[in-house]
Amino acid sequence: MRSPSPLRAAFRQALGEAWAGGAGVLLPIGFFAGAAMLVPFTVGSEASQLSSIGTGILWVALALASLVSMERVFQADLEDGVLELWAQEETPLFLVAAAKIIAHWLVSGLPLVLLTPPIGIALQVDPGALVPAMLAYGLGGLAFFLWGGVAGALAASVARGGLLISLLALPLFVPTAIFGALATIEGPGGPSLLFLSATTLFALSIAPFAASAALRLAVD
Amino acid sequence: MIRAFANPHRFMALSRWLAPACLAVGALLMVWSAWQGLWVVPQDDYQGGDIMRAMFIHVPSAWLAMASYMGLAATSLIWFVWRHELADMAAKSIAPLGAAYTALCLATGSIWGKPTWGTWWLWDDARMMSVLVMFFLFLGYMALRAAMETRQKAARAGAILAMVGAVNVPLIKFSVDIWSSIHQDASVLRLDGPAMPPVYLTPLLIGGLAHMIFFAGLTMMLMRAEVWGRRGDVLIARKLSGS
Amino acid sequence: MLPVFEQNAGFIWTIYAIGAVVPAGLFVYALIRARMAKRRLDRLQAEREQG
Repeated sequence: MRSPSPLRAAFRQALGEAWAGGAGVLLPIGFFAGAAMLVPFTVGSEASQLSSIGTGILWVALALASLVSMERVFQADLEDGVLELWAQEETPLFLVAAAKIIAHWLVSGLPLVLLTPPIGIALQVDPGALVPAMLAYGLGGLAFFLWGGVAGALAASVARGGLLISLLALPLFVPTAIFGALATIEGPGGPSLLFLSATTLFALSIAPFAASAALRLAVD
Repeated sequence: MIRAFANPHRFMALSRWLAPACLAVGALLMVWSAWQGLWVVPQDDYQGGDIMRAMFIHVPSAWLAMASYMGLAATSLIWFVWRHELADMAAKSIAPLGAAYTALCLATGSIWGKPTWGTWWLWDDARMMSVLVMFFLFLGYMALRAAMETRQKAARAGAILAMVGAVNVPLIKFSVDIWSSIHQDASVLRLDGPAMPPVYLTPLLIGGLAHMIFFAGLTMMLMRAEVWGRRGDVLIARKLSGS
Repeated sequence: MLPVFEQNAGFIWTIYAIGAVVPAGLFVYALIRARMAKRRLDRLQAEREQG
């Protein structure tokens, strides 16, 4: 019996793993919400203070949440031997890597983006500004997951590589964080949203190849 | 000369005299530049008085930080494409040196900033922020190589990371420039504002050259250590396999 | 004679001191690594010749 296209299999498997884990999907959401909730305690609950940093806090939380579950995305497959099978398939490995990353994003990243309005309201951010900001968070979050995927692939063979993944990924997050923050402030009309899209497209064009090269070396 | 960098034997023969020469020349030029900076160069009230003498240390270190990251990326690419072992050894050697110079740049910049801007750290300065990110890129590179199980894997992983980092550096610099141009106020000193008169420029350029030559000497020394280390590993492998 | 700076002398000297210590420290680091690697290689080669 011929197995379905490896791409679809990889995608479905990544989705399934995230949901089947149960806690797996709630983990980034919980982290994101929890981190955002911690802020008023640490910074002070004065409304004007919070609202000025609220959008920034959401960006930081999104970036960190993308790294929280990254360790398991590729490492589990490496340990199972599934990665080796995919490396031998005809389907180019970079497409498999992209499929896994996008699946991871859909499960762990997109829900966070959808959560930004309620959390933002709690952080005294103007709700009217938040809904258009969701586009920025969406684009930026995807870039975070893409670069995080590269870091996760590089560290796939490293036991307890979570910290290493963060160290590798965070410099790569800087342009997205900068343009994303500017885009959330400026709104859809400003140039920063275009820069943000460009950086995400850049990540989309490079990250799958870098990740697949890293996965190949993990498998060898 | 190029072949000396592809062939380990030739490299060892060349670096035997070239490394000490670079270290000596570099050190001498460093001393000259420092002497100029401390004694000879006149005070400039426009740039903030004596404290601007810091630039003779800080600016070369910034140049070194950037140049060494480019060196890391270039040697990684060369290894990735042509698999010259020496290129990988060069990359591995550059990393800790580049990290140290990046840290030097951040430290001297911070100390210069305190009397000049009143604060130990200025988040608004685009260059400082770019160098900070570069510091993490170096650290990540070293951490990744150290975490890999075999030397081959370390080389491959490092090369991937260095190249990914390299294509991101212009983007990072661009984004940080835009960010800081929004936040920066006009009172921040711009080092390259008015054209710099030769009395300042010459020691600055010589200082930059000095540190670069010294850096090359250090890199060669570490590469020699790496060559010896790998030869030793070969002997151990032979011993274990019983030949 | 060391130059006397009216202000910020401490900062200036600290910067120059760090600017001397870091390259010197890196030199010592590189020297130690090179020496240790060479010594290890020599020792292994000597063992090989004996055995």
